[in-house]
This record gives sequence, structure tokens and C-alpha cells, in this order.
Amino acid sequence: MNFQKSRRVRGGTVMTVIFHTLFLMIVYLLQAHVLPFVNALTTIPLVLPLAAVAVAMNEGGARGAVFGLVSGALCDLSFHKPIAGFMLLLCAVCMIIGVLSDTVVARGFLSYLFLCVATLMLCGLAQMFALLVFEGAPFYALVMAGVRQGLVSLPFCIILYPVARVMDKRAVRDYSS
Amino acid sequence: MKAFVTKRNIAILVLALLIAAVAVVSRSTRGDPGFITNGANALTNPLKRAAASLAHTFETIYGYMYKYEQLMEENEALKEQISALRQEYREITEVTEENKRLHELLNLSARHQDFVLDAATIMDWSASSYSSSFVINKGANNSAAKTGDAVITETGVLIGRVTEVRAAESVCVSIIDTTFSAAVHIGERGAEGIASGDFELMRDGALRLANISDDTIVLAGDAVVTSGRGRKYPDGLVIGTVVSVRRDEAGIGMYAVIQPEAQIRDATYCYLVTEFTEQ
Repeated sequence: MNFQKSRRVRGGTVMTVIFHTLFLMIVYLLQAHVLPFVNALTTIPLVLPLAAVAVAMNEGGARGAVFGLVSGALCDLSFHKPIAGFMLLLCAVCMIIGVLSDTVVARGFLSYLFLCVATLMLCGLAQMFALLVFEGAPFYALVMAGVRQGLVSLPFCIILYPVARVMDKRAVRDYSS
Repeated sequence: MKAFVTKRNIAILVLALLIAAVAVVSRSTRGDPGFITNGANALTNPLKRAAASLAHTFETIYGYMYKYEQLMEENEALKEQISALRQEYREITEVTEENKRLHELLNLSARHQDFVLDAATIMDWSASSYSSSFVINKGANNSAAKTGDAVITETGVLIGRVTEVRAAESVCVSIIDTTFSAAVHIGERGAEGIASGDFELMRDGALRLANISDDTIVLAGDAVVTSGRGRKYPDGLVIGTVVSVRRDEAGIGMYAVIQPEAQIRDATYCYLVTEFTEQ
């Protein structure tokens, strides 16, 4: 496959950046102030990383990393933790996803779903690391908590992906070199 | 004159006189107005009824249009009254709740006169499923909050501990968080132990009383209160009640499950114990 030829370039309009930022802000408000009171399967859904993945798929590597950084910082804030762990994690993850979506990964819903599952697994591992290593929490319980979190979070993909795609439509251009 | 006195005019006059005579005679003799009058009434009754019905309809429409506006105005006035009453009811309810809290706080202050309390409001809860923490509206700039301060309800029930003090807010972990631990007395026998958060029990909103020794008797229903040992928390703060005693995963020792006394997730108002006298 000739990646050079089929490279997609983002339109880079200011409006798209503003839309995506607003999108992440709204999802953050949902994550921090609404979902903590939703107790499905005794677990709180984690939707901010899913929104970051959607934006990264549309925006590409560099911008995806920036949005991942912002989303990660917001995640840390919603977890009442210092802005470090999730910021770094989502920055790296979104950069990788952005590059992949620019090159080998099709920008469809199934790809998005697969990437969300992978992201949620990484987020779960990040959250359970300290509990596993420093507090000796049982591994099985931590893994089951991660699985439950994934199960209650994935349905939000159905809403987040179309919204992110609609915001991106006006900015994407295909060109051949 | 000749124009008036014609055969036709005379015939009409005579007819009229006859009809009148019949009516008079009939009235005098039988008491009714006579067959001619009755017949005329019978012919005109339908018309009369139709006219009356039409008049009634117009009256109804007019009344409807006129009264509709009156009803609309009355309706608006009543809605405003209801809105004002609802607002008043809400204010009264809030004041009543606050009164109740302050009464409880007064009781608490009477029981723990050494406490220096700072009222706070819980602003939000952590969005993580792996921890249980909340943020209160007291920080370095607006209170004497410091890391390690106990967070209690107005009835003296421990619900958390301050872990991070920011400028205008502080982060607290709740008693079911895995990072929480406190030295406690158990039941009336005064047995001692350590109550701590447990990841598996956190899902159920409970915490763990770990490492119960063989000579410690712990029964379901025993109250768990802070003992003040280690000078982390004041003594006498209620944590919860033992609901069950179980064997631990290794099968060697026992632990108890403590159900918190307070509905932690439902709490809105709390108090920081910024100072207390160690017993």
C-alpha cells in the first residue's frame, strides 16, 4: 500500500478545533459530575478516553496527542489525582491512534470500537497498577472491576463516535500526492 | 271617510270582534282563552322555543367569552401564588434541615468540647471506580484545613480524611477507600483493631476490620468507633457497625465487615475536625 499517495490531511480549521474542544469539555462535565452518580454494575463508566480516541482518529497524530493530553489531564482531575498519569497515558495512546488512523486503520466504527476496547484496557491497567503493587489488592478483583468498567463504558461509543465524525466532516480532505 | 268604511274593513272589524268575544266568553265560562287563542299559541310555540334556544345560545357564548378572560386572569394569579408558596416551602424546608443539622452539631460540640470544627460542603465525587474520594469547598485560603484532618457528619460519624489541601478546596478519601485506615475500638468489650478500606468491599460500600486476633471477640452488631491511638483521629468518632465476621483469603485469620454508619454517597454537608485534644 502506498501510504504517501493516500495520506489524509486534516483541514485544520479553527472551528474543528473549537468543536472538538467543546466536545471534550461536555464529555468531561458528564464524566466528572454526572456519571459518578450512575452506578451500573457498581462501576462508574469511563467515557473521556473514548471521546479522546474519537477525536484522535479524526485529527491524526500530532493533534490527537494534544487532545489526548487535554483529555488525560481532565481524567486526572475527575479522579482527584495529580495531573500526570492519565495525561501521559492518553497523550501517548491518542498519538498512536492518530498515526494509525492516518495510515493503516480504517476510520470506521468497528475500528473505533476496537481502539476503545484497547484504550479501556490500558486505562484499567493504569488505574489498578497502584492498588496491585502498593496496596496488595487482589488481582482477580481488579481485573473484574476493569471488565465491568469496560462493559458499562463501551455503549457510550455509539453516541460519541457519530458526534465526533459529524464535527470532523467539514475539515477532512483527501488528496493524492 | 268613505275610504275607511268599506265592506272589507267592516268585515275585518266584525271578525276581530267575534274572535275577541269568543275569547271573553270562553274565559268567563270555561276559564281558558278559547280555541282560537289556543290554536294560535300552538302554532307559535315552536317559533317561541326556537327563539328562546337561540337567545340562550348567544347568552352562553357571550358569557363564555366574557368569563374566559376572567378565568384566565384568575388562573395566572393562582399560578403565581402557587409558585410563591412553593418557593416559600423550599426555603422553609432548607431552614428546617439546617436547624436540624445545627442541633445535631450542638449535641456533638457538647460531647466533644475539644473539637474545633469547620463546616464544609461536598462538591463532587471521584469518577474512578478504583477509589472513593470527594472534594470539599474548604482549602488553604478559606479554612484551617490540613492534610489528615478527620471529616465527620453533624452527628460525629467519621466519613473521610483530608488527603490534599488546595487553595479553595480539599480532596478527601472516604472511609471505604483503600487508602483509609484507623485504629478502632470494637463493641462494648473495647477490643481494639484496625479498620481499613478494602477494594472488594468498597463496591458494597463497606470496609474491613482486619487481623482479628483469636482472643478478640467480635460479633455482628458491634459498634466500631475510633480509639484515638496513633493520634490520627480523635477518639469516639463512630465509623460503623460490624455486619459479619469472615475467614480471610489465606484461611488463617478472621476479619469483619463494617457497614458505615453514614450514607457516605448521600452526604452533602460535613465538618472538618481541624483541632482536637488527644486523649
